[in-house]
Amino acid sequence: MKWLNTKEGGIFLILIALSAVLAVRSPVFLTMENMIDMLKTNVVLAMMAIGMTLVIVIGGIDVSVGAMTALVSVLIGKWMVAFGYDLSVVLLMSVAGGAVLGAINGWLISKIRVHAIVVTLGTLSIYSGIAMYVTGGIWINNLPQAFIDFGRQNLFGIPMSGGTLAIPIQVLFLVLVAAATGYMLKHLRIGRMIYAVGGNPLSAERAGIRQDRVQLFVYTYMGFLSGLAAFVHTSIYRQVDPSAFTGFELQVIAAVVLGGANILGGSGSVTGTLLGVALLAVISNGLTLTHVPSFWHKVIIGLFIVTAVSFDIIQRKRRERRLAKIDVLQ
Amino acid sequence: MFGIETADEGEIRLHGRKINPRSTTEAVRLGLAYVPESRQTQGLVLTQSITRNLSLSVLNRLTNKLRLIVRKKERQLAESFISKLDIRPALADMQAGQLSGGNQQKVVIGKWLASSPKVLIIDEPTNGIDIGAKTEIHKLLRQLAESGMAIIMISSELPEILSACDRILVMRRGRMVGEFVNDGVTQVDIMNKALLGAPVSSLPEGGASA
Repeated sequence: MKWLNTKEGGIFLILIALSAVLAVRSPVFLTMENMIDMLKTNVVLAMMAIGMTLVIVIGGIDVSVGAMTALVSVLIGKWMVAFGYDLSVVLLMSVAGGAVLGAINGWLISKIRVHAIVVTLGTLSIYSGIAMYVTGGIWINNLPQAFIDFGRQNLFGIPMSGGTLAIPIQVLFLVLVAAATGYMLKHLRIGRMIYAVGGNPLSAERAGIRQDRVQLFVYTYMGFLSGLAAFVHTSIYRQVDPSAFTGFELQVIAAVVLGGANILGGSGSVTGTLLGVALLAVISNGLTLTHVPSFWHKVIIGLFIVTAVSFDIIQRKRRERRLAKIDVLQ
Repeated sequence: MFGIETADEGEIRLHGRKINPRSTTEAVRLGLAYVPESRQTQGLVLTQSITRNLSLSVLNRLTNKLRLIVRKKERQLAESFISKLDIRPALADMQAGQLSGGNQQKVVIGKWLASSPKVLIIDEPTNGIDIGAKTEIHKLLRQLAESGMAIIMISSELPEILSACDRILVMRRGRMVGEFVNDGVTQVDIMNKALLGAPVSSLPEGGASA
């Protein structure tokens, strides 16, 4: 059980312990319906968090993710109302639109060298402002029936006692994104470059790696995933609310940090982030099921983040101290 | 010289061909390698394993037709350099940050040897590492030079220079002030030039700001 000693293993154990407590406290928690429900509500968060993992691994931050998703949702919503639904057109439009928005962030950060938080705070305001302007703040409701039908599909049904259990089609998108991104980080050159730039930008540059290109790629990819998330989100809720993602970036970043990524860059993984999302999902689902007033949810999630990160830092320091001792002994 | 800063004046020739790298990426492609003075801040990614540090400058050679990194090739590369340079402990998956100074330096050198450069520029190679590792690194540099690699060592440690170099160029405030062939040169000769030397009018070949 070597993997239990890793960061991901630790998060997994916490997740299991928490789930066990909830299973005892609430009879609903462990039902398949509740699980599927949790999965469906968090698919979008998970996809965006996977993109954010890359951003955080290179030591950056992107607070415009929610605004990007909102703007792309508005874009495809308006398009479908005007021109009708065609899967390939709408899907392509979502990812291309998102990638352009992300590339604008990436270009400002890597070429003009403005700090990531300043750039993305600015574009957060710009992107969400445009989304509000285009819609006048009003929801887009009359989406084409074909699109609504698409969003209602299930991948496959699992026969269960008391009906069949259906996996919603949106889960497929998450699986593909997670697999592709995980593979990229592990096996492609760009993955190595991402970790190197995040771990030590100067060493990476000396090794002939262009930091600006890696940054541009990562922020564009974040935009690409935000666009895809917009498509998936719209297919779940069948309407577009231009302000649905206000403040969502905090949840995305929280999931990545809970998943064990170092906010200073250099470490983080898709598996960890997925566990972080699961942890957030289980906490808020559990609080709802045990009837904790919703105002407390944010406080408790905040406490979790602060505790988890502090614990991680204390452990790291302890490890370093042990190392120092070995050095002296030699 | 490695494309980090552009030269104020002078030119760089490699095999008689004028080169002018404007980025480190270009310098690497031209066959230059630069082992920086500070291995922790400029040389290594401390949070990554020895293997990943060693493979960083040669990722394009470890890929297959689909441009995917072949783990096995990477592993072989790492193992071969760990044994060639006698990196201890010989654990390919160990984090670079956990190694001693001398072994960290060996990883940095190994990383660049993996790119099989024509010219190796090495800045203060034995700064802050123990005597044993120092001798090993000197021996290694000597072997490399004998195998035909051009090595430019930048050092402020005179005994090291005298024991390791064939040709010595003395620089003072960014200007070349003296050139020696290392036969019977003493520390005093070098210090005289370094402290009192007037700029040499004709810049020797290879001289430029790094």
